[in-house]
Amino acid sequence: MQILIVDDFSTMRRIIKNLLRDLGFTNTQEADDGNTALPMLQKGGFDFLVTDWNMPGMTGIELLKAVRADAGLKTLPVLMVTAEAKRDQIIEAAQAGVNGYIVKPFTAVTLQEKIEKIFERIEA
Amino acid sequence: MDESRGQRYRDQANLLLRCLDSNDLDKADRVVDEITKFRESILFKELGTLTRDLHDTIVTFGSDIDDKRINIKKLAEEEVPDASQRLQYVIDMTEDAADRTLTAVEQGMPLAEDIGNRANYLSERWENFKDRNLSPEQFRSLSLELDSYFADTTENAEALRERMNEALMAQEFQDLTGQILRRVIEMVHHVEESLVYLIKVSSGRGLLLDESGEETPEEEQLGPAVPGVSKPAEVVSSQDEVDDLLSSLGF
Repeated sequence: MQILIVDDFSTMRRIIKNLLRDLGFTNTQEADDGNTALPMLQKGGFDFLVTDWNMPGMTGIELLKAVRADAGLKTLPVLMVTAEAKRDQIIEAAQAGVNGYIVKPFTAVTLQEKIEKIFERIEA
Repeated sequence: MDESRGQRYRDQANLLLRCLDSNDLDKADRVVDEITKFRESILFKELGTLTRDLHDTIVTFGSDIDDKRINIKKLAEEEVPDASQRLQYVIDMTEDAADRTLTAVEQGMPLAEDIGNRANYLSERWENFKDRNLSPEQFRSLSLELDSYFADTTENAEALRERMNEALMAQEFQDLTGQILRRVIEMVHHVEESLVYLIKVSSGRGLLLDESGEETPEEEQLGPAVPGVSKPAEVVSSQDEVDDLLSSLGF
């Protein structure tokens, strides 16, 4: 399974990458905002997208909407890992078709739970 | 006012010339001191007037809530305390992260030492065994020690891995503090712009300022929730609340 991690802070990308590796997902790539991520996704090969919200250039919510609007990507599972904690934003992400939403700061256990839940649903 | 100032300078200048003609340098020094003192008193008077103007302008602006371009009242009552709270939160978060990292390292260090020390000791005994220098009794004891070493090392390695994970997770503060600091930098920039505007106004040239000056609307700004700054009703405070909200939406 190939996973794309999108966050403008390299520290956070490294943390998520290491946590995913710990969960057995070793095939990850990174992008620093939506503008970089979208062409990578469109090239194909990714099975899962983990994205931040607040990024310069193209934000995570815009990326999510672009993914859902793209015929080739609309079923790609998307997990948001973000510091954005306003109720309105969580509702907006849900309406845009996010598969999971984690607020920072988060724990390794939370990440594991949400990923498992997302794949359970997809397989069900 | 200007005339009397001019006259006073002229008198002092003439006096200075006379002192120099008569080669009385001590007196010349005193005249120069006089002139300097007079000049300073004018400067202080001007400074006083400027301060008064600035104060009046601030008072006017403070009560003029309709003026959105520069709102000293908001700046003083909201934005600066808001920034202070954000910075305090940054201090708290970095302190917490440093504490978590150090604790993890302090707990991990003895585990790594134990693995290394015992491996060292056992490898010496193992060499003895290979050189056939161990009695059957000693070999039995070595064998037991090896058993417990393998069991403990498996356990220690897992505990070490957990500590390293903890140190890894502690670094997530950098993303959050980075976002918060960016907001504070924006605010400082805004204060700077406001002060420049204030100076222009107080020197009577404010009306010449570009009327299309950017307003700072109450737009929804992105960024992490900061305790004491974010409105509690609008933000969730835990992952559980996120999960509840999502499940209420059918997730």
